[in-house]
Amino acid sequence: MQGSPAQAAQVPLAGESVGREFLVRVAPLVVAFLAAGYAAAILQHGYVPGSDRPFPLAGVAVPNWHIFWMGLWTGFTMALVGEASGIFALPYSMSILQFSTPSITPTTQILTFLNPIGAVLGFRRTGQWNLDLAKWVCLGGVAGGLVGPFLRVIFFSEPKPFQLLVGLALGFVGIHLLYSVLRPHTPQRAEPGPRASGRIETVGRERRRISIAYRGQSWTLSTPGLFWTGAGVGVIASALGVGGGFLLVPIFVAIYGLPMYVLVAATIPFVIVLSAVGLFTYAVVMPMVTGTAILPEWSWGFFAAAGGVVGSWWAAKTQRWVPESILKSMLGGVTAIAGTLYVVNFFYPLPFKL
Amino acid sequence: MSTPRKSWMEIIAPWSPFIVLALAAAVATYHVIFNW
Repeated sequence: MQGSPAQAAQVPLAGESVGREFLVRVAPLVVAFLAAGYAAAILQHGYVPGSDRPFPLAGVAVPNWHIFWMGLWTGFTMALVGEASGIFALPYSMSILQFSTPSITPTTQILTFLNPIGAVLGFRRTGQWNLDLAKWVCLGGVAGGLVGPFLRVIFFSEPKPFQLLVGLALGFVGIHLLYSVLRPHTPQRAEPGPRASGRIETVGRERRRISIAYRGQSWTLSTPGLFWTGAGVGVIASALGVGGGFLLVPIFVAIYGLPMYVLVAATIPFVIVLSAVGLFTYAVVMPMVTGTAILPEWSWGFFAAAGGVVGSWWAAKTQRWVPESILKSMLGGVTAIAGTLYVVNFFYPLPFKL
Repeated sequence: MSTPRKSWMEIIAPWSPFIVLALAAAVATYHVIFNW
């Protein structure tokens, strides 16, 4: 999820109010996701997997607190630097937790589906919301989410080719993070600060174009262009099992010149729609076409999402005090190295397990 | 005139990403050593 939760709720830190906010807004969601995780485990497997009994579809035994912790730290760090948690949770699940069956893809999409829901509700309240902009990208996401899972099965069903795809995505994210440190976004596009506010209005609607305006600036966008951008990103992201924000945000910034405040009004709904369609395709459409479903580990996804809620909320509270460029350099470096290892391992097998 | 005292959260906030990353690395290392 791209930078948004951190922008959605920036308030000064005061010990008691933060504690109260956690108890009122965050804790109930965490409890609900954990309860859903335990219920899903019983319904799906008849028992709760963990450190003693392996997750059947993942084929690994991992304590549930570790999955919660993965959701927390990936949600926190990635929300701080404006990237999606899925792109970190995916390689962590594969290489540290050794969840390398195809089920990892829809499982991570549970996390990318649930995590941005809080942010999108906040955006609706504050007017950081424009259905005309979001609609065409999301429709593209629907198309992409129906196609991508089949690529996963046809071309990337084995762990090594899939690791190559993940490696390329990680390399892209790493370079993007490092590039944003070296060349910070110039202010000519009037990017508002983290506490920006205001409505994103539709000022023109033609057959193949929409015009949107925010704070005196306006942008005219081609609707087929938005659709095909969403579809292209959707194919790649749903084959990986992530939300797609890691590709969509750089495209919106570089090609359409949209500021972060405006573009998240499209990317956050896109991540939710794409993840939902991807999950549906893996679990329902695919068995109708191929006879085989790739089911997610529902409980794994819910436990990670429970941690993700805490992590992205804490990122929203602390973002203004965090030395962003140091953090981006660190995460960019780690991500680029991880991506390089995956790519190298595909061509020249490394002497250690990835 | 004295400067207002920082709350404990303002003091730990800038450090929290590095604490979290260090913890993540420690937990990952522990898992790799004892669970693989």
